[in-house]
Amino acid sequence: MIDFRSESARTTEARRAPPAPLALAPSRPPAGAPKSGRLQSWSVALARTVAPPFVVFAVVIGVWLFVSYVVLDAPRRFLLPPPQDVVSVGFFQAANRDEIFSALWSTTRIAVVGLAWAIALGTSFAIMMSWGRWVERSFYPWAVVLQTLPLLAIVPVIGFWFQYNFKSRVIVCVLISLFPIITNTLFGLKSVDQAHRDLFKLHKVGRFKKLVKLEIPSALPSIFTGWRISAGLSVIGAIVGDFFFQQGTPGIGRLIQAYTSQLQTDQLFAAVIVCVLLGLTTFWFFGFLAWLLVGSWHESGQRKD
Amino acid sequence: MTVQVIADETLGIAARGATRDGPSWGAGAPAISFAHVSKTFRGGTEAVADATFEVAAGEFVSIVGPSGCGKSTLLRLASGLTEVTSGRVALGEENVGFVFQEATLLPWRTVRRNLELLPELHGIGRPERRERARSALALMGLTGFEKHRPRQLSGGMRMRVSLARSLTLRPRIFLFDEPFAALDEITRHRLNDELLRIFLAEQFAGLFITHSVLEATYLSSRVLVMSARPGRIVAEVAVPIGYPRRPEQRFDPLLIEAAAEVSARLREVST
Repeated sequence: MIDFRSESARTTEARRAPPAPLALAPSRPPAGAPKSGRLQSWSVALARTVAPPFVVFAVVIGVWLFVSYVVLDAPRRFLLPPPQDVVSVGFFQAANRDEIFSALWSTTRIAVVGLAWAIALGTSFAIMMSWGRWVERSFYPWAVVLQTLPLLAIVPVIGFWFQYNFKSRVIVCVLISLFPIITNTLFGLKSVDQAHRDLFKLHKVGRFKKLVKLEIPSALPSIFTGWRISAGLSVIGAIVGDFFFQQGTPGIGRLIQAYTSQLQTDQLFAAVIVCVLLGLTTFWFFGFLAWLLVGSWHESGQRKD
Repeated sequence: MTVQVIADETLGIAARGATRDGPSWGAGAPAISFAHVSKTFRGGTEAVADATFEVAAGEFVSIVGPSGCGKSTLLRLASGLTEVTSGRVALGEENVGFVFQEATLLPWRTVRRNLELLPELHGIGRPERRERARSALALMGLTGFEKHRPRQLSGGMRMRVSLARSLTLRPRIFLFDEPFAALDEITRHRLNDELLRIFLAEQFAGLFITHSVLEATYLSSRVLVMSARPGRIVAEVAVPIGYPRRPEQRFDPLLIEAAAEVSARLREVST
């Protein structure tokens, strides 16, 4: 219904009206009550953000339970143990929990160190490539080669060469996560607005100053895209390296293999869940970092209403 | 005395008012002089052909021409962004400001930080930088917008910030590459008036590229007409009105007459 009365009439009425209940009452609070209105729109926004993934989560759990209890009979239930068993065995039995989390910690450390190296190396390569076309021409094909190397074949070789320790695992992570950082950073550095380049050229700005004040800030959105992709890859690299090396401090990859061979599916699924959580955390972390640093000015950070 | 500078090294912008060869800014020395300047691009496109003209110190000159006639190239030649193929470009001053077609603000910097950019690039210390940004801000009527990002501003406001940014180095020569072309007429008129106000206050030499005849005549004391590509300077029309100019003088018969003359010349060369 459209209120045809004047603004002042409406606000007077709103002032006289009893305070709107704070809870999400089905009846709408009187028009013009700003506080509860804002609260409601805020909670609606929250619900809109949280509800869809929550609903999907509930559906996934439902399907899982259905398969465990209805599709599988008791002797075959170990193929997909129900979620509550996974949680209670994997996370509430101290021995299993400690085993899983110490393996997770080892894998995380490798992935983080590998990613840090990949970022340092990849960014330096990309900067050098952006400075000289001949550098790009000579090295970019090798970056592509790196990307197409069959990792499964190369991992054992890395083990031969560098022993089966922390260092070789980090090397696997770097190999797998380097390329997206190089390409995305290079793309960002080369996409700097020509008019901005002219402005810096007019003022005879040196190469290094231009890099710091123009090219890197302008490339940040692409740089973060590269980091985000590579963070996921680095986690995969840490798990794959661990899976193949079979030596040194056990990580989550080896644990998964051990659980599989011993048919300890409760623990296996708990370990997989932990891997997924690690991946999600890194993904969110880099999304958050990008939002923090470029959200205030870049299109990708703006809300579209 | 004129300092002859080869085009590719015309634009060493030093801090305020510094010159290379002593007091080159003597009376009568042209601020900008083009002698038989031609530019042919690598692909064979002849953008500018045999351009010869001068802009005196403290003079405001506009160049109009059909689109694609090489007006912007002419300005890039003057600034040293593009090198001449033949002929000679000489600037009487090193401290040159350039206003681009777009505002070219850095989107990640606030208005205030954008205004500090040029002093920063020239190694001027923070307190001095702040002070210059503040005075440029006040001069362009931008006070209160210090913390805004470029994307939060309208096109007209962005162009104001861009002008203010150039002013932070107090250039003695100002090159304008159709800075107001993308703005609506009302905003453009306002910015024209502000530009004239700054021109009178700062006394720089201005070379203004535009495709608007009325804008050209209202701003300048002389209007040069360029032909279609390859761009040649084919006519020069003097505007018989002094400065300061008031907004209502846009409709002064003398100014309209000059504009009609420019228009007629443009028609001759556009076909």
